Amino acid sequence: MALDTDIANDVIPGSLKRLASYHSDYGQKTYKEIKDLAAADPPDMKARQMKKLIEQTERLQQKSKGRPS
Amino acid sequence: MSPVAGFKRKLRRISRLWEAQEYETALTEVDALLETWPGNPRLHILRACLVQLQEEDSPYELTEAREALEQALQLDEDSAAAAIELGYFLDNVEDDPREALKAYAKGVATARQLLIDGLIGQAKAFLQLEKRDEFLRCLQEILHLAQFERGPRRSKAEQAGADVVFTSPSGPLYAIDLKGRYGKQIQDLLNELAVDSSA
Repeated sequence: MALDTDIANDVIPGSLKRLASYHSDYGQKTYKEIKDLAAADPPDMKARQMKKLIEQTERLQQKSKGRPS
Repeated sequence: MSPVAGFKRKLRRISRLWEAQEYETALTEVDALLETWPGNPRLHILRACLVQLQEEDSPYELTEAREALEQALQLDEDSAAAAIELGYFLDNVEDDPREALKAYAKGVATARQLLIDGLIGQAKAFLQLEKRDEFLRCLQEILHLAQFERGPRRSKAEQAGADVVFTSPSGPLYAIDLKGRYGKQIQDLLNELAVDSSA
């Protein structure tokens, strides 16, 4: 699980940083800052996209858990 | 070592590499396995996931991830895992929730059908072993899932014409139309319940 204090750039892998939905100006924000911006009214669309990338990364990294090693 | 045992051993290695966050090596291993087992949908799903986890200097393109998931679905159109993974990719990576919904709908429907099928089998096994409580729990789960097979909750007028009407513990009334895909099998289980209750 990504921690609230995790910095976006430290979580999102390089391949996902090539996407148009990755915003380098948000790269140094924490996961919590991004979540707060994404939940704001109106929502910050850049933050929403960055939140998706963080959560996708987290999902994919966890996929190995539970498989027989 | 048999080919299957060798395949399983390599999958375990990929899993260990994944846990150790050695995604580049894991992807190389998956690609090697795909040379021998190109028709294995699971390998294509693993490939799709690992492509997304590569670092900036990786030679892999993200389009390969989507292609791998679509290939998995071509190989196995009933793969709930592939459809659901595609849903997440479309939403989170391509930022397209509209397209993601189509993939999720397919994956969820397939997974639900598989689950109902398994629960029906499980219920029958419990019945044979005279495990009534477990049988009833299965039946409850089957009936809850089966209502979603018929689309959104119907109006009271439609419910009145349904074969079976239930009041859930939380209050709302819902109806099961036993004419659906699992209608006959669910009816058979309900008949067993009636026989059991009258015994």
